This record gives sequence, structure tokens and C-alpha cells, in this order.
Amino acid sequence: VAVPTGVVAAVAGSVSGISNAPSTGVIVAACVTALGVVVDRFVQRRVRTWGYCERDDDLLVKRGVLFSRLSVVPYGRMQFIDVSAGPIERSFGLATVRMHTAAAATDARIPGLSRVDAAELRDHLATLGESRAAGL
Amino acid sequence: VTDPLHQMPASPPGTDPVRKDVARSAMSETKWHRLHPLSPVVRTGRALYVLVFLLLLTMTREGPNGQDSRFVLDIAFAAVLVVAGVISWLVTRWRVEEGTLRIETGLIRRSSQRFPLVRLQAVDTVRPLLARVFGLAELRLRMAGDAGTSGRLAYLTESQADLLRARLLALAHRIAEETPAPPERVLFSVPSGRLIASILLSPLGLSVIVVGAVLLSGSVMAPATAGISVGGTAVTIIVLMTVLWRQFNGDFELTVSQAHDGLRLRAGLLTMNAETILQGRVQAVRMVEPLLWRPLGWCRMHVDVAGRHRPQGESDVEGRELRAVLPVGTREDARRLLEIIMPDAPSDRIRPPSRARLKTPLRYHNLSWGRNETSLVTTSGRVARVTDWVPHAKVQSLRWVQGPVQRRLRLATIHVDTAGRNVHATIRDRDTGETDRVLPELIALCRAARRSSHGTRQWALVQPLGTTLSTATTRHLSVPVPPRPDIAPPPSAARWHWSGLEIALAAPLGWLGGSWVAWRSLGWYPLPSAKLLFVLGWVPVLLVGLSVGLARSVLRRRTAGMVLMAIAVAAPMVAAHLVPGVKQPTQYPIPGRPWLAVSAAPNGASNLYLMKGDADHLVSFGETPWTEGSAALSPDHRHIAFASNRYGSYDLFVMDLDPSGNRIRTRRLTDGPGDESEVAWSPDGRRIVFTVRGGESSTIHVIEASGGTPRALADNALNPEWSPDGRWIAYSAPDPSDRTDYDIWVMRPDGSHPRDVIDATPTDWSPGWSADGGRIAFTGGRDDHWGVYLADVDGAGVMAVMRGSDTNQAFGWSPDGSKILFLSDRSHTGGTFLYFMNPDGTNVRLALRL
Repeated sequence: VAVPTGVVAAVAGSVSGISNAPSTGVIVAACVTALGVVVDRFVQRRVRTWGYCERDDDLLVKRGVLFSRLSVVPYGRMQFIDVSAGPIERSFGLATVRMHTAAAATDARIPGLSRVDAAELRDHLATLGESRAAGL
Repeated sequence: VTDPLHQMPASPPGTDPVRKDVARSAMSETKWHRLHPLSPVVRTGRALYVLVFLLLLTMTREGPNGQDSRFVLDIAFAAVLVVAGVISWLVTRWRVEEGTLRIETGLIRRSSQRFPLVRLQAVDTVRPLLARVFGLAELRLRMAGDAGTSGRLAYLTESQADLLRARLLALAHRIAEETPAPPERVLFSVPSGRLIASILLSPLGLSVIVVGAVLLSGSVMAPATAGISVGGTAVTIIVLMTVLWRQFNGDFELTVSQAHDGLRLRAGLLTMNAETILQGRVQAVRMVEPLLWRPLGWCRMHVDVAGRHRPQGESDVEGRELRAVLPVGTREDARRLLEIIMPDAPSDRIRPPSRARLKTPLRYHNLSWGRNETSLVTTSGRVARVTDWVPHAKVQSLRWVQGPVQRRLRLATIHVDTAGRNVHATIRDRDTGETDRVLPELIALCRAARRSSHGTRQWALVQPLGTTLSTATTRHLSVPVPPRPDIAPPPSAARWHWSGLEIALAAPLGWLGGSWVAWRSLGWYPLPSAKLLFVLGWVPVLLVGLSVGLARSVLRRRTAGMVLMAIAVAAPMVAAHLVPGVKQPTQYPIPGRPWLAVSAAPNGASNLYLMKGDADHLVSFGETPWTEGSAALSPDHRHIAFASNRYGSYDLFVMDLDPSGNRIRTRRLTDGPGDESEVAWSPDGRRIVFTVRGGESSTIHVIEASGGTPRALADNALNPEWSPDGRWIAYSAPDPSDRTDYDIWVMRPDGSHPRDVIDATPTDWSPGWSADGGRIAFTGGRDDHWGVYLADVDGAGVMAVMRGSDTNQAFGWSPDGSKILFLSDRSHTGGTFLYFMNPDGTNVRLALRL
């Protein structure tokens, strides 16, 4: 979060500093930085609450600060698992694992895994899913 | 109760042995079969109506020549469609071989589908309106497997479809083909009245009622703006009506019956749909009790079935949808149905803690949940109460959620996700202690349920009536099949049906007949206007549709035909009264009730008519392929002089009449190369004056009525008219100083003393003497604006009597001299009719409309 905050603060400060008085630019940059710090706190808390647990028969995914959620996805119900990595995630070597069941409401995803971990988790879940697959 | 057209092969399909054999031999193995040749037509469905209508519109529209290319384009487009349809029919074929159904299709990308019949779960029959008209049906194969793959055979003839269905099922169950399928037990069917009431009481129905009421009251209070308001909301209305209609048609006479493999639903007024909800495929059951229905004790029940087909059957894989197994019914109906779909639904439910009222004040009174070993039930809903039943074995995932308000109140919610996106049960706002305890329990229950159903196939085969199954896959069946069929006996062959084609033909024929009667008796007749085309184009289509539906699904008896014809005959008569601009205005007798000879062309070529006093006493002298015009009745009413092109060029004829106006004979007076026209009698009835046109010139001639040689009176003159006293002939001729300015002239009957008397407008012609001979009514105006003028014989007192944007032509005077007769297109209905009016232009009345 710190890096984008710094970039945004610098850009916002210089833009408003050029078009208005230089002092305005400094104030804008300070405001953006403060906002970034607050957002950073929230994001850090959010990331800390995110967790998953592989049990014998199902996978638990927990997340959320304000709204805390706990999803229980039985291995036998997984239809497919996908691993995705956006440009920012890629630059940090991270990936998101997402589990899909036949239900549209299921929202089990685990972000921020290292790419190796993500691939391992995916393969592991896929094997478990295959061995326990149940029909609709 | 049972639909004979949808009779499953429980009854021998096709009681007629010959027909059966033909159909059977046509389905022998190792032979490729094509679909019915009309399949492409039926498949285009509704687009076909639109196409035909557009084509009709294009063909009847008479536009400038530039539109011809557009017309050709339309034809080409239609031709391409037809060719494409024929090709698709040619390249599609199917056959049954070695327990597999193969369907090959595609010209460029050839695809061959194989459906192993051991995996066949059910065969549904779908019959859209057009298919029913042609007596066709579509078979949809539903195979075991998660994706719910489907095979479509669209379309086969009804008997073929019945036989093939029986055969496929027999092959699938590995039993002899002749074995009748286990009977079905009809559970209930939805009464139409209740269905209509329930739709009207739904939010959509109410909004339609409100919109209709507002529009109606608005139209009554301010008729002037009615057109605008109706036009502005037309799209909304159409959309609403379409949705309502879909709902109505989809659930019309929904009959739920219990078959060996699940619940069988049949519904539809126009599009008949038969489908099967397989035991064990039900993901969830939802019961909704809308607020407005609650006083009536009604509810609606859906099942969520994974892999169900979309109604149109176009997208086959992702057809997960809620199906209303009970569109409207009492709670007792719902309870009975639930017992069959989910035999051991939990009965007791627990209420949430009272502090949940703070979080969801509106929902609180509806919230509760319950569970047992096999399934769970939740209720929720703010306005309508929604109850969901989910078997543990079908739960996809569980989610525990706690929001900030819930945390304060120590509450939490557990979501129970099932396949698809339609139903997910929610155990809402429970005490956290309870949820912490329940969640692991639910997880364990679901796991146990999954395990117990794991490895067993979810669909059941029951032993069909005493035969043994060769496979070892005999399954449990939660609901026993009743030992005796309590369905109605199949209809006897003696019962008479209207076949689809008969009905399809009968309705338009009835419509045509009704139109003819209406035209004759009420004066209603088709107008060549776009509005009328719309009415004429669509009302029959709607009529046919409704009639076919009524005839085939409701009445299904001889009376169906009678009702159908009655509707078709009565509709045009009603339309003649209701549709604006169609009803013919009243025709008034001309004062003095004169006899008039007129020529008119109501149906093509112009012919002679004799009006004896008024329009009700009109004598037609027969329709001829040649033209008869310029009719003039002699003063003694015993002869009509007229011009006809019977022998090539126009010649002068005289028809002799008896005293009551019937034709005795027709004589030919002239046979020159010129074209005779504009005939007038002398007051004594002995001579006839007329115009002969040849090349550029026109000459006024006179001839003895008994025959003889015509004598030229005036060159470059036309429209001769004898004065009542016989001393003058009025005619029109150009002004000597300006050849384009036509004036009214008079001359002596021997052609002497020509005198230019009236010069009112650039073009004055067609003079008509008043009874006293003092005044002349004539047509005047410029090229495009014609009006009726009046002037004294000496040219004084020129007065425009009838002028306007319509084309008005002077025709003469009534015998008593009180009215001027004129021809006008003032009705704007595409014809020129005879009117009369006071000499000052007031009190215009229609005299004759042909």
C-alpha cells in the first residue's frame, strides 16, 4: 500500500501544485499520504483476518473485519479450482486461488499466496476433490 | 384429466393399426430417418408470423418506384431463409442402432451426436403452437450426467414421436418394446380460474390493472389525449402483456402427475410443454406465500432442478431454473406435493431470539428454521413469506456471516448454498451460541448425507409391471407406484377430433366468411389503409392461435369446431362496429328520389348501375371485364346511354330498359375510331349529345337516340350538357385567347351561336344545368385543386360552393333543383363517392358509395 500511496501523493501534489499555488500541492500530498496510512491500516487488518484451513473433508476460508465470514466448502462439492494472478500480484509473485462449486453464491477465494503455494494448494485440492466427488 | 395427445405410451399409441404399422415400419433400425419436412418452418416459430406480415405489408404498399428494389430485397431474404431451412432439413438425420440414438446434423460443420440409451433418463415432449397446428412434436432426450446434456429431435409427427418415445424408453430400460410403461398417477391440476386470479394478484398483474385503469379513465375524461397516452405507453403495455401471457401460458392447466421416474408436468395453452422432474435431481424446494395471496390461503411452490432445460430449449447446458410445480394452490396442496418431492421434510422449526427484531424488524415475524437427519428448512421474507427446503445431500457449501450490527446483538447468519443461483436457504439472525453449535452439526450432517448418496445413481428405475430388469441397477423408489392406474381410459377411436390442419384452415375460412357477411349486411368492407391491414393481418393470427388452443386443449370435442367457426364469423361483425373508419356511413336518399344511371368501379373495371331513388335500390347490370362509363339515363327512364370499350375503342351504346328498370337489350350507336364519352340526353329524349376524342382533339357530336349518323357540333369542346328547356347546350372549351384556360360555353343545339359565358377559374368544366335552367353548377379549379362552383347562366354571381383539399366534382342537380350532386373523395377511404348538398354548400350527405 505504501508504494501506491507515495506515487499517488506525489502525482496529486505536483498536479495541484502546478495548477495552483505550491503550498496547495504540499497540503494535497499530505492529505493523500494520511489517507494512504489509514487505508493501509484497514488493509493490514483485513489481510491478517484472511485465513484458510484444510480439514479432512472440507476447506474452511475465513475473512472479513467488519463483516466476518466463514465459508465451508466440502472437497466433494468443488467443481473446479482456478488460480489467477493479476499484473500487480504477478510483480510480487503472488496468486489467488478460487474454489467453484455448483452454487453461484459460494465465494471461497484465497488471495496472496505465493505462486508455488498456490499451485500446490490447487493440485492438492483437486486430488481431494476427485477422490470425494459427489454428483449433484 | 389426461391429455390424449400427450398420452404416454401407457395406452397403445395410435389406436388405428394401419397408422401404427406405417409409423413403425418407418422407424425400423439400420435406416436413417429425416425429420418432418415442415420442421424448419415450425422452428422459425414466431419469426415466421412477423416475416409473413412484413411481406404482406411490402406487397400491398403501393409506393414510388424506388421501393421496388426494397421489395426484391425482401423476397431475396425470404428465399435465402427458405433455402437455409431446406438445407438444414436435408442434412439432419437420425437413427437408432445398437442401443444408441445417433443424430447427425450440419452441412459445413458436420456433427454427430450419440446418445447411449442406457443413460437415458427421460424423454420430454414439447409441442409449440405451430407444431400443434401441423400435428408435430419435438422429443427431448435427457441423459444422466451432471451437465444435463440433451438431444433434440425437432420435429416428428405426433404418432412417430409417441412410438419413438416408447421405443427409446423400452430400450433404455431393456424391456420388450411392447411393454406398456408404468402408469402415472395424476396428483392435481391447477384450475384456470385460480391461475388467472393469482396472476392478477401478483405485483405484475396489479401493475397491469393499474396501468389499464389509468389509461381507461384518462381516455374517458380526455378523449383527445387518449391516443397519445396509449401510444406512449404502448411498449410498456406490450411488454407487460407478453410477460403475463408467458406466465399464463407456461402454467395453464399445469398437471402434475407421478411417474415411475419422477414428477411429470404438463402445461400450456398454445405451446404445450411436457417435462419430467426426476427423483433425486431436486436441489431445493421453495414455497412462496405472497402477501396478497395469504387471505386466500394460496401459495406457490418451485423446485430447483439442476440441468433442467430452458423453456425454449436453445441453450441446453446451463438450463438451471426454478420450476413452479405448483403455480398456485392451497397449503394443503403444497404439503401433499412436498411429501412426494421430499418425503421426510423437517416439521418443527425454531424461532430466532427476540433481539433479532432490532436488526430485521420487517423480517422477524417470518424467520425460523428447522432440520432433521435428511434436510433442513428455513423461512424468511419481508413481505412474502418464503420457505426453502434443502436436502443435506444437495448442499454445496455453507457460509457463516456476521455483520457489525449482528456482532453487537450477538447474532449470526448461516447461508446454505445450493446449486445454481436461484435458491439459497438462509438461517438468518440466530444466536451466536446456536450458530457455533449448529455449523459443525450441519457440516457433519451434509458429509453423512453425501456419503450415503455417494456411489449410488440418483435416478431410479422401477420394475415396469411384472417384467424383470436385466441390469442390477434396480433402485429404491421413495414413492411407491400405485398398483392400479387411476388415470382415465384412453379416448376411444370413435371420438372425433379436429386435426390441426382442419382447424388452421377453418379459422381463416370462417374469418373470410364472416367478413363477407359483414360486408354485405353491415356495409363493412376492407379499406386499403395501413391501420386496417394491421387489424386484418393480426386479428386472424390471434384468432387462429386462440382457436387452435381452445379447440385442442380445452374443448377437444365436436363443439370446438362450432365455437371456432362462431368466433371467426362473429369477430368481423364485431370489428365492423368497433374498429374506427371501417363502419360505413349512412347513405341518404337524394330529395325527389331521382333515378340515376351511374358508372362505378367497386371491384376493378367500371360498370353500369341504376340507382332507383336511393342506395338501397341499386340495380347492377353485371360485372364486365371491359369498361362501361359516362352513363346517362334518358328523361323517360327507359334508356341508358353509355360509352364502352367492349369492341376496342370507346363507342356509344344505348341500353333499353323496361318500366321497372331491368335491361331489355343493348344497342350500339357508333363504331368510329374515336373514343366516345360524356353522354347527355336532350330533354325530349330523342337525341344524344356526346364528346368524341381522337388524338389531340375532342369534338362534340349529336346523334338520334334511335340511331343514325353522328353530326359534329363544336370542335375542341367537351362536357356537353343539354339545358332543361332544350334550347341550349352548355359545354366547356378553351378561352380563344388562352388555350389553357377552359371556360363554360353555351351554344344552340345545332352548333350555332357559341358564347363564352363563365370564366371563374383557370379550368372550368363539367357544367350542369339547374332545374329552372337559370344557373349552372360546374367543376373548377387548378390542376390539383378541384371544387364545385355555381354561377348564373350569363356568368354572373360566381360562387365557390365546395372547395377544399379534397377533390370535388360537380355531377348535376337533383330533379327538384334543391340540391347539387357532386363526386368527392372526402371520406379519405380511397374511393370517390356520390354526395349531395344545398346550393350554398351546406348539409353535405352521402348518396351512394360503391
